Amino acid sequence: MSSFSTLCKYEFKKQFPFKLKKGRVDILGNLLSILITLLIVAVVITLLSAIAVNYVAIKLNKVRDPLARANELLNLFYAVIIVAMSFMCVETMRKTLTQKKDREMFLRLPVKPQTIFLSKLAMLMLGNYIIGFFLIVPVNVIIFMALKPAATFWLTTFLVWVLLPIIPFFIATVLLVPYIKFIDFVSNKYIVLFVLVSLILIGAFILYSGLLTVVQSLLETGSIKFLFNEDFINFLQSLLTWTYPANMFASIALGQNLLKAILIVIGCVAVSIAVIYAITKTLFYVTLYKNDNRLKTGRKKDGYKRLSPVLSLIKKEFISVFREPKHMFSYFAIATAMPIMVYCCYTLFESLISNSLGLSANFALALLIVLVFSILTNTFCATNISRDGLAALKSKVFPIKPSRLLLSKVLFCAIVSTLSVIVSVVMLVAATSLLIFEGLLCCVIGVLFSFSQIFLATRMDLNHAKVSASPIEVEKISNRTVSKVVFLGLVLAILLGIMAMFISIFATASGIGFIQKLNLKSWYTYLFPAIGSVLYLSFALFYYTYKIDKSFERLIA
Amino acid sequence: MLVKIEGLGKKYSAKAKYTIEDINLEGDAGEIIGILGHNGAGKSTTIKCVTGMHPYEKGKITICGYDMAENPIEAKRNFGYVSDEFTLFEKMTGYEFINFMADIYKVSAEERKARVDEFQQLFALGDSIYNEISSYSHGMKQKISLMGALIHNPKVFILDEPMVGLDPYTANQVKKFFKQHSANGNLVLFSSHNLDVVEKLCDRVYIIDQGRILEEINIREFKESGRGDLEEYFLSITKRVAKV
Repeated sequence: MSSFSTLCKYEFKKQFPFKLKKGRVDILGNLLSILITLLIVAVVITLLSAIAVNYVAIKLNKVRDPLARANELLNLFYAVIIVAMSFMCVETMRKTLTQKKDREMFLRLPVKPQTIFLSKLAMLMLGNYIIGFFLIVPVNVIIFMALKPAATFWLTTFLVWVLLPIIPFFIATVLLVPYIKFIDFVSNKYIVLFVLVSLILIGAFILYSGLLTVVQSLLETGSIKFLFNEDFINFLQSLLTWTYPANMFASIALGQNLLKAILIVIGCVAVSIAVIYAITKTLFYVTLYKNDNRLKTGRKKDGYKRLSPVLSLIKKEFISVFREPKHMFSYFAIATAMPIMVYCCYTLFESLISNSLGLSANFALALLIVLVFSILTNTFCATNISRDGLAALKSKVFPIKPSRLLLSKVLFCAIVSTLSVIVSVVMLVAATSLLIFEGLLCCVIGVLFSFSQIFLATRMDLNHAKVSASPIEVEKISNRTVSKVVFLGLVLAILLGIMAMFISIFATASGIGFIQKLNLKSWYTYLFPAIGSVLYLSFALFYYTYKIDKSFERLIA
Repeated sequence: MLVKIEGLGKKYSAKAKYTIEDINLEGDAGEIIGILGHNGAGKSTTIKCVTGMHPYEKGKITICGYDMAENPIEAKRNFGYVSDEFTLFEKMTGYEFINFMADIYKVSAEERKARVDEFQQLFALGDSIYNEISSYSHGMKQKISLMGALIHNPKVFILDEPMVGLDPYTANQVKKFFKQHSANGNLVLFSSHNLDVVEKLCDRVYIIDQGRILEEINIREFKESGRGDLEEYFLSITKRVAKV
């Protein structure tokens, strides 16, 4: 086997680890992931299908033109696919081409650096085709269902799939060097990075909630009237004339102006390949000789401030999370975005419940949403021990009782979580019809629930942590803990929230005969979740503290 | 005695056999003691039991009079430890790490300033101390580990393979520091498989093989006895000379 194909095989296995790994299978985690993925896919396909069916049926100036509308839709979808794939590709390219360990290992082998580089690029391109397949085919299926075009549509779909993935690859190649420079620039500017990541996350969620509003409109009215008025379509049409080459791909797929579109696309692809070839040489030197050992400079300080050991440990936790982009995103950015997420979800579901059911369950709804998002935020705590790696073992040397050492981790998470819950509830009280008393209670229950999640996650991680494990193994082990904690939390959150909602709805709907017999008082709405959260916290606290010192002492590499 | 180990035994699972067994070791103020052995002989396991990183099944470990099992916090307060792997909190700057270690050992602001100044003269980290540890070279990481472990001026200084990967200048500085630290009435206890380092630095050496102490050697007496080269002697008693 030639060195190129051996390297390609290695890269392929690394990028697409299909093979089942030995060891315990996380059935619960896998089931949850499959369910969530299926749910998201189902929501997206249903939503897009509904949009497509509605959109192609629109009459402009009293004329119905399904083919033109389908073209506009495909054009839009392809433009989004090109942009999304370009973003994904530039990041994958950066990661793949600048991996220090890989590079050092290969450069010692009797293989030309060019061969290594080309094998990586080849596998990136293959990855683009696989991703492209899973994006282009569902979009075209949706259009097929809405438009019912001729069978040649699948032939042109194949052509689009062959040609389209080259464009994001080209864009990524052009953007890679500035992107690497940008990442290097922000890599030790943690505040800038934090603001940037949080804004992106908030923006993405606002966009997502915008999509959900469309779903709401669909559910309530059966159509998306506000979106499909004449002004909006005119604006969309003027925008889509500029989306080269997505508009050409749409024409190819629908067989409109086929020759012209194919010629333009082939021209674009030819230019892309030429530019990729020209830039690759620059990329080769930039990535191969990239200096990863740049000093990350901090601010010069004069004094020495003394802190208590627990405060110092909390500070250490903060630094370790804040300065690691992956951790910063999965904890701080999510905790920061949580109030916006809670607000968006609350307003959406509140109007849905009041419009479709004609009922009001503000407190119960707010509680359910706050609890669900606090579960999401606190999943990070499932790596409280294992993410330190061997440093967790080293901390056994410190002259501090294990329970105090672990308390610092719990306190750190508790501070972040409490702030997040408080801001979320304040936002709800200020911007919605949630009462102050209800907000206060929601806040207390939310905080108690968060603490329970933190205690459980930390202890579960302590019980299963393998501190000498590789980052992939650490992720695998913590994924199992995350699955268990999320599952338990979700069951309880739904139980508390839904029960409170049930009591609230039925307590107010006193006009119905059998409800009167139940004699439900409205204050049960508050009492049930309050008692539930206190019981949950008691259980979590007992589980967390039970033989905790011994469990920590048993922690070995 | 600053360190006393009596009949130490450790196994990694209930069914496994002992990785180290019947380890007896003593170290007093002003001494530099080495634990010498091949790879996998049990040096690191012994050190990890002494420092409290690994629980042990048999024996007793006393540090500065405190029993490691009965009074681990006081025992731990009296030693500083540098491990064979850099298990530093890499996202901290060197300055933050030293301050963190000083907080853990409750060192006053004045003391930590004086000690950092002293270490800066010895290890010459300069302004690099304000950079993130993740961007340090191997030698710099070793230096910052040493500074962190010594910030509370421990009576007992324990190190696992301290010279691995150090440049000649830093290795020389470290050796000088060991001598100075022991001369100040402290104990330096380290593991190594480097015979040269052990022979030049240590007052006494414990040779360990297959989890057991084979012999305790007083280096001065060994040299005076004319028993020859420490390397040959070490290989002969660990019965590997034939393979060489």
